[in-house]
Amino acid sequence: MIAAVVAAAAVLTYRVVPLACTPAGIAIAGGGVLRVPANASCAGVTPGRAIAVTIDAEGSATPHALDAAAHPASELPAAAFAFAPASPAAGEGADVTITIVVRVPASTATGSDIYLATERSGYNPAEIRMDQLDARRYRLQLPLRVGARLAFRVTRGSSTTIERDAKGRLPAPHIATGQAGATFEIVVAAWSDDT
Amino acid sequence: MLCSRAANAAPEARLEGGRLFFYADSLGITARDGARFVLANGTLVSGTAAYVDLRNDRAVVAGNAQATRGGGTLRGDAIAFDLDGRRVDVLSTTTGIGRVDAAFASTQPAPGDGDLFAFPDVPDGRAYIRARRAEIVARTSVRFRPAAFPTSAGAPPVPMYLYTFAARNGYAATALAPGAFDQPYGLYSTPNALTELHLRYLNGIGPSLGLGENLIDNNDGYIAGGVETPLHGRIADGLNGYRPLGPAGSVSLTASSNDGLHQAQLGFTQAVGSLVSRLNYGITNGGYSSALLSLRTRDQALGGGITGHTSVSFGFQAQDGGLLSLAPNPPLESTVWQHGIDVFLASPLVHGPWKTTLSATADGSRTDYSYPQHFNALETVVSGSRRLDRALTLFFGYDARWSADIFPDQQARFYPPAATPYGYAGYGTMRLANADVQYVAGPYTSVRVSYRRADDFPQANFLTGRPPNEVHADLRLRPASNIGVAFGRSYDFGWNGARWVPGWNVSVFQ
Repeated sequence: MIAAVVAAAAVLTYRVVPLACTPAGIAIAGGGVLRVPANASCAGVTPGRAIAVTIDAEGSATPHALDAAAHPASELPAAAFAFAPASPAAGEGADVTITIVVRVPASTATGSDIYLATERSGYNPAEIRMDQLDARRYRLQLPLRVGARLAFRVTRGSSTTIERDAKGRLPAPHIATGQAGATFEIVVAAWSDDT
Repeated sequence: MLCSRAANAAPEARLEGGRLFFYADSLGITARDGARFVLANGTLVSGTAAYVDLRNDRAVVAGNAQATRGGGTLRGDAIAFDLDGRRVDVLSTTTGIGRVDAAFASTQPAPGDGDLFAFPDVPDGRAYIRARRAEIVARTSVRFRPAAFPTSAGAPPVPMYLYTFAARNGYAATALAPGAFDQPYGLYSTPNALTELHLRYLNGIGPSLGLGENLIDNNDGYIAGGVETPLHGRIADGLNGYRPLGPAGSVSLTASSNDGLHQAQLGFTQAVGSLVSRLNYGITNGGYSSALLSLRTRDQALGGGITGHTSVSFGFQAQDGGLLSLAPNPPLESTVWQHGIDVFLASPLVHGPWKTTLSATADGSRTDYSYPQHFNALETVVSGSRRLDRALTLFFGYDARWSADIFPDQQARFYPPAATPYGYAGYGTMRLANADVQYVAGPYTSVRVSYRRADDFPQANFLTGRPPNEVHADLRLRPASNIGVAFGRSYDFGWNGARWVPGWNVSVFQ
C-alpha cells in the first residue's frame, strides 16, 4: 500500500509558469527556482507559458508539455526548490463565481429594477439588471477570474438614480474581487433622487 | 483644483512586445514574443516575456532579462520592478532573488520578494484587448496601439484604444442618458480628466454616437459633460457635477438639453446629526422654476423591527404666465408656495405561511399650497416572495395608493363635473396586484415573467391610468464568453390600442 502511494507520488505533475530555464534550474512565477536534473532540457520551455513539471525522487523537476491533470504550483514539494518562493505561486487564472447582494432602502418602489453599473461599460447606469431575491434584496452572480477586480456602483437605471450614503454623499465605487465563493453584500443607504 | 495633476499625464511606462494581451478583469497585461519597457526615469528593461500588474504598478520581465539605466546594466533570468523604476529585483536560477540598488551596482539577497515575480497563467484567448504597444499612466489608464478586440467571431481592430481603470468618483460618472448598449472608447485621459467617445444604442431611437468629458478634482468632485447625436433623432446634451462639501455635505448639479427643452437642477445636501437636509433648485427654459428645502430623518428603528423616517419640506414653484392655468386669474398665481410632511414606515422582512417572505410599507404625506390647495396621499404596499426551488422564485404584491387633490371652495373649477379626462372630483385610487416568476439558471442567465393587474380610478383608454392587464417578460443570457444580452417586452392586451408595447428593452454588457 505504501509502495503504491510512493509510486503514485513519483509521477505527479505540477502546473507552473516558468520565468526562465537554465542548466541551473527553472525559475517560476512566485520567485522560486526548481532544481533540474543534470540531463534536463529546456527545449519547449517558453517564459510566461504554463508547462507541467514532474518531480523525481531526488526532488528534481523535468519540464513537459502541459498536462490537464497537473496539480497547482502551490502544491509543489519544498524539496523541489533550490530557492523556495516566499509564498505559493499565485494567479492560476481559473474562473470563479462571485455573488453580489444588494440591500436597497425600504422606501425603494416595489418592483424597481436594480442595476450594476461597472467600469467595463464606463458606468452605464443601466448596464446589468440584477435578479431579485426578496422585497429588499437583489443578487447578481458574476464569473470573474481569481484575483480579478471589478469596480461597480448600484443604480435604479439612470444617472439620476444612483446610490448615495446615509449622509447623502456619493460613495466611492464598490470593488468586487475574484475569490472562490465570495459574496459581496452592499447596503444602499439612499438614492440620489430621494427627497 | 481641476486638472491640477494633469502634468502627471505623461505615461510612466511604455511597453512594446511581439504581442500584448490585456485582461480587463485582472488589470493585467501579458507580453509575448519579446517585451521592451521604457520607463519615465530612463530605465530600459527587456526580455522574452512580461507581465504588468496595473493594480500594483509592477511588472515582471522573464527570460534573458536585461535592464539598463544610465551606465549600469543588470542581467538576470527575470527582473521585477515598480513602474516608477525605483525598486528593482532580479531573479537568478543560480543565486535566487536579489534587490538591486539604484545604480545597478550591487545586489542584496531578498528571498522574501517572491511576490514581485507573479506571472499569472492566463490563456491568450481570454484577453479583452490585443495590441503591440501600451502606454501606461499609473492608477489611471493604459493606451493600446494598435488594438484589436478578440471575439469568437474575429478581432475588430482600431488604431488606438484607451482603457481607463481609475476608480475615483469622477471616472464613474456620465452625463449621457442610459443606453441599451454603451461601449466607451477612450480618447484622452489624465489623472484628472477623461475624454471618451461612446458607441451607443438607445431604445426606441436607434444607434447613437456620444462624446463624454469628465473633469475630476482631488477632493472627489467632478464635472461630467456629454453630448450625443443619434443617427435618427435630435442632439441631446447633459452635464452633471458633484463635489463634497466638508465631511457631511455635498453639492450636485445636473443640466440637460433635449428636443428644445433645457433644464438645470442644483442641489445641496448636508447631514446634521440624524437629519439630512436637502435644498434643490430647478429651472427650465419654459419659464418654470422651483425650490424645495427638505429635512429628513434617517431611517430609525421604531421597535419590533419596524423602521421609519419623516421628512418636512418648504419651497415654491413658479411658472411665467401662471402656474395654475384653471385659476380665475392665472398670472396672479405665477408663484405658489408650499410646505409638506411625509411619514414613511416599513416592516421588517418576516417569514409568512407557506415558506413565504413578507414585508410591508406605508407612506402618508400632506402638502399645503399657498393658492389655497392641499394634496394628501397614502400608499401601502405589501409584497412577498417564495422560493420554489434553487432557481425558481415567485414574487407577489399588492400596492394601493389613495390621493386627494383639494381646492377648498373651488373644487369644481379645477375638477369640473363634466366627463373630461379630469372629470373626477380630485380623489384618485391606484391599485396594483402583481405576480412574477423568476428563473435564474446561473450567472448571466435568467428569465422573469411578470403579470400586473391595475385597478385605477380614473382609468380610461387613451386618457389616464395604467393598463388593466400587462404581461412583461425579461430574458438575460450570455451567448458568448465576453458578451451578455438582455431583452424585455410588454404585452398590454389592447390598452391604448397596443397589444405588444412598441419597442423592446435591449441591453448589451460585457
